[in-house]
Amino acid sequence: MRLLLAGLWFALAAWFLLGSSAGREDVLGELARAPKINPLELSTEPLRFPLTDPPHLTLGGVEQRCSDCHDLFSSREPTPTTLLQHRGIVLDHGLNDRCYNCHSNPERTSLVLRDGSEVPFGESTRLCAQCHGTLFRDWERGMHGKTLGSWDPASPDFVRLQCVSCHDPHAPAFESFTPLPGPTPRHPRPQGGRPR
Amino acid sequence: MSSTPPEDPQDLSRRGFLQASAAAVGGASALAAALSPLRELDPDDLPSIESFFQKHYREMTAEEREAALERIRESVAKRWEVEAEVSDPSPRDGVEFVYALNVSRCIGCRKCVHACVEENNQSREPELQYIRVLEMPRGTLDVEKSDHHYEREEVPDRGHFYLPVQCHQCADPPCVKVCPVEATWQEPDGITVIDYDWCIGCRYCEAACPYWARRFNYSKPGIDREEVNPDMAYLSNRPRPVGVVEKCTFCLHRTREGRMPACLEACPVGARKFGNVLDPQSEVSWILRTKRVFVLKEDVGTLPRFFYYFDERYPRGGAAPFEEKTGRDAPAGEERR
Repeated sequence: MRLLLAGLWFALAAWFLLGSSAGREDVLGELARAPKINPLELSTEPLRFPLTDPPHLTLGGVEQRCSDCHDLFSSREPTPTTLLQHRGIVLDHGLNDRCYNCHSNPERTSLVLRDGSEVPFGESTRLCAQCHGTLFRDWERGMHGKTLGSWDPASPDFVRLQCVSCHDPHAPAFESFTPLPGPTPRHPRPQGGRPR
Repeated sequence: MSSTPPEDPQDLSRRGFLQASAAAVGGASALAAALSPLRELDPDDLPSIESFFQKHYREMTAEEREAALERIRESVAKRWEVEAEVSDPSPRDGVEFVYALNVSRCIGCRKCVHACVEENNQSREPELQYIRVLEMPRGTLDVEKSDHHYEREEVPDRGHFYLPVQCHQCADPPCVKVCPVEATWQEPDGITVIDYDWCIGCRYCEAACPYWARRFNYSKPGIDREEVNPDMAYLSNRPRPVGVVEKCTFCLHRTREGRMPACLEACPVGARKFGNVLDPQSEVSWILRTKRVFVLKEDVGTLPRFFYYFDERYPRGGAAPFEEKTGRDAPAGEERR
């Protein structure tokens, strides 16, 4: 009888010794398949860097002011047509489909309000506010848009991004995003159902 | 008729010898088995005398806290060869943090989830994430029917909306009530924190939380050297040991210095808002005063400091398609955006 008990003890001990670590590694291997975090996906920079005053473009490696060309070439009266120049611009802004609704006609280095007064590029928010009044009201109070730097409005680091830091003024709606990978399911997704 | 000779205790019979030696071998192997976890023990995991006798965070003197921070610096340097800046920022007077999230804007891109993992030194292997982005059918708010494993080519999906859930920093937190060792508590600025060195890993708090906000370290958190964020604080993102609970702390190592939480900075659509609710001019104060706001699971009475709000517009992608809302085919000409 005592021999039997001793044998049992021995078998139990051997099971503990040999089996204890193998099982845990299996569990860890199952949980360990997490996708890498890619810091490039997580930029905290604004989505866009809008034109600053005076507005300029880099053409052929040379910095050009708008007036460098537009002082020489006057543009046609605008109708919603495809532009021969500025081909990168896709105008998809709803009813707002004329260049001179926002751009000042002779003075190309500034924008224009509905009443004809000119606005520098750095204050384009005033232009947007003419039509998007409720959103502008929300933006002024920080309920729309993005604030970076500090949560404290009294802090010097407090920066509220402008409309054009996120929205392309020519096509303001956001593109769709590709989502980053979700959490690794602990159990396989059942056929046609949600994972548990 | 032979009679067995009387047993002499000095005599060793063959049977007695075998029984005794089998028992001895069995006992020795049982002892070895009981001690076998010691084989896996890394001497670096053994606490020093000072850390063994380290007090609860709130009972430490200033010198003891500084010594504890120094021990963290040393262990980080030893494990990853990274020079960490371990701080212990105090809550500010007149500040109570509140989070607001615009459900009309959130597109479910999960950038907040990954930014949080990166910022807070969360375990990569095994995977651990504080934020769970729930995808729900439009027109419903049933978390039981939500899916946080959604895999899509593009978001947002027209038939769904997205509800990111993380620690709600409740004003009446059930997780704090259930902790048997007071390892978790609410700070004056509203953030519920954990002393990872005091947590015994019972996971009562994880069970008590109605928002599934707490995570348990089932094994030693695995982080590569280049992934370590050296900007650490005692109560937030310092490396955690195995067997303790952790959760979102509103990035207190950043926010108590006036900076924004990492999830907010990563949000590409500006759906996340953070600030001091005691300041009437703060963004969150304006939201709470003027927007349509709701909290998740209001009926459980935990008074969350995490609010969801709407804009006066359809969510991104326009209204849900007619047939999804009504279950009928759209009549001719019914095309809404």
